[in-house]
Amino acid sequence: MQFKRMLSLFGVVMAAALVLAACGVSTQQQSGGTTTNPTAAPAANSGGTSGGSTITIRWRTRPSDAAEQAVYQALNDAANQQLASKNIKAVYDPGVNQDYEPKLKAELSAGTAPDIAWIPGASTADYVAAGQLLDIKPYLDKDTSLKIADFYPQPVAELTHDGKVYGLPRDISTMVTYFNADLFKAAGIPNPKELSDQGKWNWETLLDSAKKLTDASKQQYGLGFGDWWGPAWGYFTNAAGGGMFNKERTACNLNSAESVAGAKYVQDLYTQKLVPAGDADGEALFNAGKVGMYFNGRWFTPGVRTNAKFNWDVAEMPEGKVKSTWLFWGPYVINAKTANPDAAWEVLKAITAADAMGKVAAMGTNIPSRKDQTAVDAFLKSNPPTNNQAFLKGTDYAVAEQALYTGNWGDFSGKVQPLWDQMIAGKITPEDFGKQACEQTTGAFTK
Amino acid sequence: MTKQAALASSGTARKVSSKQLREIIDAYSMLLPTILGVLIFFAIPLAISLYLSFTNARISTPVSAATFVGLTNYGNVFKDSNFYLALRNTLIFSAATLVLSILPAVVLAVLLNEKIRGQAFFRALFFIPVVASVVAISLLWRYLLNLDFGFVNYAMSLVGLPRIPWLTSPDWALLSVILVFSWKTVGYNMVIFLAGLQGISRQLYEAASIDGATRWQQFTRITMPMLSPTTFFILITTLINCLQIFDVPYALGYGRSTTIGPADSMLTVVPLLYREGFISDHMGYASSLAWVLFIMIMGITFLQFRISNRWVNYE
Repeated sequence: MQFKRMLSLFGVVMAAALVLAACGVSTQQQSGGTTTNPTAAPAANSGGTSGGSTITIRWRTRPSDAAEQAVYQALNDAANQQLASKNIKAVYDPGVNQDYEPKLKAELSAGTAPDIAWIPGASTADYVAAGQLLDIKPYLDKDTSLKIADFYPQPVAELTHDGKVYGLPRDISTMVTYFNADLFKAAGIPNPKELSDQGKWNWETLLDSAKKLTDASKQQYGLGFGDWWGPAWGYFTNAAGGGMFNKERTACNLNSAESVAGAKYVQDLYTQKLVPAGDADGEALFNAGKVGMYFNGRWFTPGVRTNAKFNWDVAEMPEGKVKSTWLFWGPYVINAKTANPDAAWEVLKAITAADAMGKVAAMGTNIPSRKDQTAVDAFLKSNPPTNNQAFLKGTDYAVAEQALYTGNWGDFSGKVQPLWDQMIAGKITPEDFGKQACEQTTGAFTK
Repeated sequence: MTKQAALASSGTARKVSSKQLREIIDAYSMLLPTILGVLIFFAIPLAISLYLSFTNARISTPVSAATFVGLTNYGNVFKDSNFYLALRNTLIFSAATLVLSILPAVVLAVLLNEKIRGQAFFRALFFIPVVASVVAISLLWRYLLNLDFGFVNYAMSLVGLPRIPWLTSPDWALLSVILVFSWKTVGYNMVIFLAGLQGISRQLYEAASIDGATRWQQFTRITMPMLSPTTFFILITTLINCLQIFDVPYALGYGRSTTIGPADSMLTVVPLLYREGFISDHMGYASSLAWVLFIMIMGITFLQFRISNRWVNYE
């Protein structure tokens, strides 16, 4: 009988635990400490706190590995030294690498998201449409310690909508051509940097080099790039003089003659087997010395440094009908529901300061989003590659990763990518790709 | 009955009923964790998903912000070209997997039911993929099936066969999913068939032998009919698993873009609803997809039960 009682008690305790587990809210709420009214006017330069209690601000990035996570943790520790006098404590909360955004969106919806988070630039408009980002324009107007002009203008322009500013760019990265200098030397042909210096780095010389470097018997390819919008349908349609959207970004432009020409150029590359199929495999093949040239952003650098057993460098992207590259960027944004917007602003300033960006840039993963010499110098010294200038030169003509305020980026890219895959596999023509892409994405341009 | 006897009787009744009450309380308090578990983690989410399927809910906004849209989501399911692609892939995948995971399982089970050397070792060997993590084996197969440096293509090249773009061509990608999932499932089906085989009386085989039946005749006239309830169980569970397939195509086909395999060639219904709900932020639409799939599975299972009395023999 006693045993039965114990079992019953155990059952009730387990049930209570279940209910608590299911209904409980994470202890990491929007932010800890005291609460201030999010809609209240910002207290410029005040540090955002009043009284003696310490306010905790949680911030998040998407580190790709432990080394990157350690850099952000160090950045957090350095920020805390500056913030201690303001009674603010920053807590770095590294996000998951895979499915980072679905998790963040769910947390935003549930009210358990961090106060500050990094998000991909192209997704910014979707968060703005959902009313999840704090407008920091009032802070920028009142706080003289931060000048928005110190940041590269393209991402700032993308973050600005209807007179509001929805975050500060954490970093930028132009896309460049990584090349295996040893393969070029062995083939006896000039490499992309040399061609670029001679003003001859264009789609003709790209095709010519790719053909000369490709050797099917060695499973060696001349060129490689990931099968996603950036280096694939984004770059090639832009450089052909077309692009994804019309000027107003209210409609698809992939069916224009220029965009179709860009798609045709890529289909030929695949038909001639000058590029490996697939996505991540191309990166592995480049690192294994089996790909002559690879289009990618700065984030590829640490992996090449670690894995490549050959001489390599980078050059700007080859010129098509027009000179083009992407300016990838991602902002730190403040959660619109943060309980402590003033303190979040202080933390945002600390983690986007020039010296903080220099520290991240030194790791090699990205380019500072500030034009300050401190940050730029730290980046240029981060070698290899020797030709870091190629990344910076691209900023002059790069197209910034586009925030689609007039539609839904996820819907648009989700419809285009499968059609692009069909096109490079030779299942549909470049003309059909453009036509079907624009037909199928009309719904993506309504919010 | 005297007044005294009546009082005594009612007292006994009260006593019994309070004991019963205590037992009921004991029973329910022991059942409570399971009941609550089912309610909190199954029934309530199920009800919420049904509600969401009639709304324009998004994952990025609270459920309270969702507005009622009637049957719009269900209408959109049948207008969505991706749904038809996913449905087609799911049906091809399910049909092929049923064949490739059940037939080899029967053969293996019959072979390993014989008294052969290393019987236990081989049983364990074929069961290992079942125990291994799906994501781990999928990633392993991603390397094995790689076009340029995968072992499968390397082995094929040794015997003069051409390299096959297993994971990078829309023509081959779904077949890769079928092969990997079948490879993982065959061991489980084999074990269930083994259990079924061991339930067949030896006397049936002895009698057949005396009557001069060959091994093949014994297999077709005794083994298969006697295994029909086991086959029916495996058919139902494997088909349900196939219709709900998510992990293998997701792990084999996920890249930097949001397609599942090249040109969505590995896209089945559950990865589609995951993508709609969590990547494209259409939770209401994703919920309606889930309910369409649920109804589809219910329908197919019901049909299987209806047809089963034509071929399943219960002793």
